[in-house]
Amino acid sequence: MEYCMSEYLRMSGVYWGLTVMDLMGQLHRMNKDEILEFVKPCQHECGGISASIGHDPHLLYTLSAVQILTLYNSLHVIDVDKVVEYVKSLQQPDGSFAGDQWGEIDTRFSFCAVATLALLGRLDAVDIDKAVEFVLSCMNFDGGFGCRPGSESHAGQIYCCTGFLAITGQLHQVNADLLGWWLCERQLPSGGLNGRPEKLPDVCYSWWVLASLKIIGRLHWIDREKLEHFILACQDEETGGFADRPGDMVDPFHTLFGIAGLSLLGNEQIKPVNPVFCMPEEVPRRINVKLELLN
Amino acid sequence: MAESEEEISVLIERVVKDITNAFKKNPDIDEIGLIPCPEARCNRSPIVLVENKLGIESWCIKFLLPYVHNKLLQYKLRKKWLEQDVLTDVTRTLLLLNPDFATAWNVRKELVLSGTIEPIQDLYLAKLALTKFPKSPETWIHRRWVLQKLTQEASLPCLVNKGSTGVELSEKLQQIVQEEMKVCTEAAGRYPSNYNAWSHRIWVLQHIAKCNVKVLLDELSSTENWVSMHISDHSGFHYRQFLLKSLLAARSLPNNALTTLSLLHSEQICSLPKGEKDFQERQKTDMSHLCVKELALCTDLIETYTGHEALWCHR
Repeated sequence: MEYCMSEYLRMSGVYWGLTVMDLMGQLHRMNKDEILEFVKPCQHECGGISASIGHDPHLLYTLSAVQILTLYNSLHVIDVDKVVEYVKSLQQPDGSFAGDQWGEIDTRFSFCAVATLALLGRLDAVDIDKAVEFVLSCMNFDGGFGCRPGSESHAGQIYCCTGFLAITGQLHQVNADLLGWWLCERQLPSGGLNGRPEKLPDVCYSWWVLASLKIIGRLHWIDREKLEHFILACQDEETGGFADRPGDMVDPFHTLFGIAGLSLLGNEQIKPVNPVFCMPEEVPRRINVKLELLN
Repeated sequence: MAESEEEISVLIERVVKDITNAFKKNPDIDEIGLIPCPEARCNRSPIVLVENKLGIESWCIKFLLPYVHNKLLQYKLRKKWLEQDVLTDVTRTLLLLNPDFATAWNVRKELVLSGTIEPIQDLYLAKLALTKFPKSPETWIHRRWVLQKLTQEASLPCLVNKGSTGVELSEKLQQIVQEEMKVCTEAAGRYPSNYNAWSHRIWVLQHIAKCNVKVLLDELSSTENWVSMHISDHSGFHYRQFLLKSLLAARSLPNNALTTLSLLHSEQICSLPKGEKDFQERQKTDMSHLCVKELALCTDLIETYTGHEALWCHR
C-alpha cells in the first residue's frame, strides 16, 4: 500500500536512492539492469518520462530519469532527441516552463528543464535569455525567489533558481550578500535549517539552503559544526537512515539530503557532491558540464 | 481471515459504490477523514456518512487503494477499457485517498474536456481533498487548471465598469474569486504557513481577478483579522505585502491607462473627470494611508506578541 501511495514519484525515489548510494561509494550494490529496464518504458511518445509505468510524463521525472541514466552512463536506453523535444515544447512565450502538457508554471520546472538539457549537452535547444528573464522576474525584495512572480521566497525555490542561474551562467544577477543573509538566517539555535521564517528545521533544508549558499559563494556564513551536529542527530541508530528531524520516521528523500548536506560540509567519508545537480561531483565532470559558481 | 482475490474485488467494488452513493445521497459533504478501525465489523460498510462528514474505516485502505490504483493503471496502459462513469468513480476514490497522484487528476482533466465531468465538480472534489491534505501540491495545481478552463469560456464576462466605484469584476467572477479565497483560508488554517495555499491565493488574484483594485482592498481588510491571529504565519504576512505592492502598482497608473489595461470588451474609455488631478492626489494619499495603517497593525502585533520573526520581516 505504501508502495502504491508513493508510486507517483517513483522515478525520483530511485534517483534519491541511487545517488545516496553512489555518494557513499556503494552504487555497485544496486541492480543496474533492473533499473534500466524500469526507466525505458517510462518514456512516452512525446519524449517526456513518467514517474512509473502507466503514469503521465512530467519534467520532474524526466530530470530524475536523465540523472539516473547519467549516473549509470546509460543514456542510450532512452531516445535523447525526443527528451530534448519534450523539454523544448514546454517553454512558454514569457520564458517560463510548464511542468507538463497541462500548463502549470513554476520556477522548479525552469530548473528541471535546464538541468536536463545541461546533462544532455543540449542547452541550445531552448531560449535561454527568455528563460533567464522569467526566473529573474521571480526574484523578491529579500533577494530570494518564489515559484512564480510575486510568490513568497522559499528555500526550495531558491535552490532551483540559483541552480538555474549557475547552469545558464547568470549568477552575477543575484544579490549574493542579500540572499546569503536570508539563507543563513534559516539556521536555528538547534543548528538545523528551516525553509522560511518561523518554520521548523528539516534535514532536507540542509540541502536546499546549503547548496544555494555554496552556489553563491557564502557557505562559510553558516555555523557548520552546529549544522553537522543537527544532521547527524537526524540519523536513526537502528536503520541508519535519516529523518526530517531527530526522532521522526526515516525515508530515502531525507537520507539523501542529509548525506549530501554532510558532503557539502566537508565530511570525508562521503564523495564530494555537486551543489547544482545533487550528484557526485565526478559525474557532471565526466560529461563536461560547465558550471561557474560564485566565490 | 483469508479472503480470495475474487472476494476482495467484490468487496472493493462495493466500497467504491458506497462512496459514489454517499455523494449522491448528500451533495453537501464538506469534509473527509480516516476512521482508525483495525478490523472490519461483520458485513458493515467501511464508508460512514454522518451529517456532512464522510469517513473511511482504516482497515479497508490496504485493500481499496492498491485495487483502484491498479484498475486505473490497467486503463492507462490500455489493458482494460473503463467506461467514463467508472473512471469518474475510480479517480474520485483514489484522489480522496491520495491526492498527489497527478495521473489520476489528469484522467479527470480529460473527462472535463470531454464533458463527462463539470469543472465545478472537480473544484468540489479538490476542496474535499484539501480538508484532509491541505498542502497537496497536485490538488492546488488541478484547481488552477480547472479555474483556467472555467474562466476561459468566451461568453464569460470579466469586468464591469461601475462608474464612480471604478471597475469591478462581473458577478460570476466575483463568486469564483470569493470561493477561492474561502478555500485558501480554510487550508491555511489547517496547516501553518501553508505555502501552497497562499501562493494559490496570489495566483487567483493575478490571473482570475486580474489584480482588480476593489478585490485587493477587500482582501486587505478581510485578512487583517486572520494574520492577527496567526502571527507566526509568514505566508499570511507575505500575502499582505503582495496586496500592498499590487495596489501601489495599480494606483501609480493614470486613470485611463488603468482602464485600458483591464479587459473591457467595450470601446469606451473612461473619460477623465474634471477633478483628475485631485483624484490622483487622493490616490497617493490613499496609498500612504494604507501603508501607515499596515505599520500601525504591525507595531501593535509586535508589542502584543514579542519575539515573532515573521512580524519583523513584514515590517
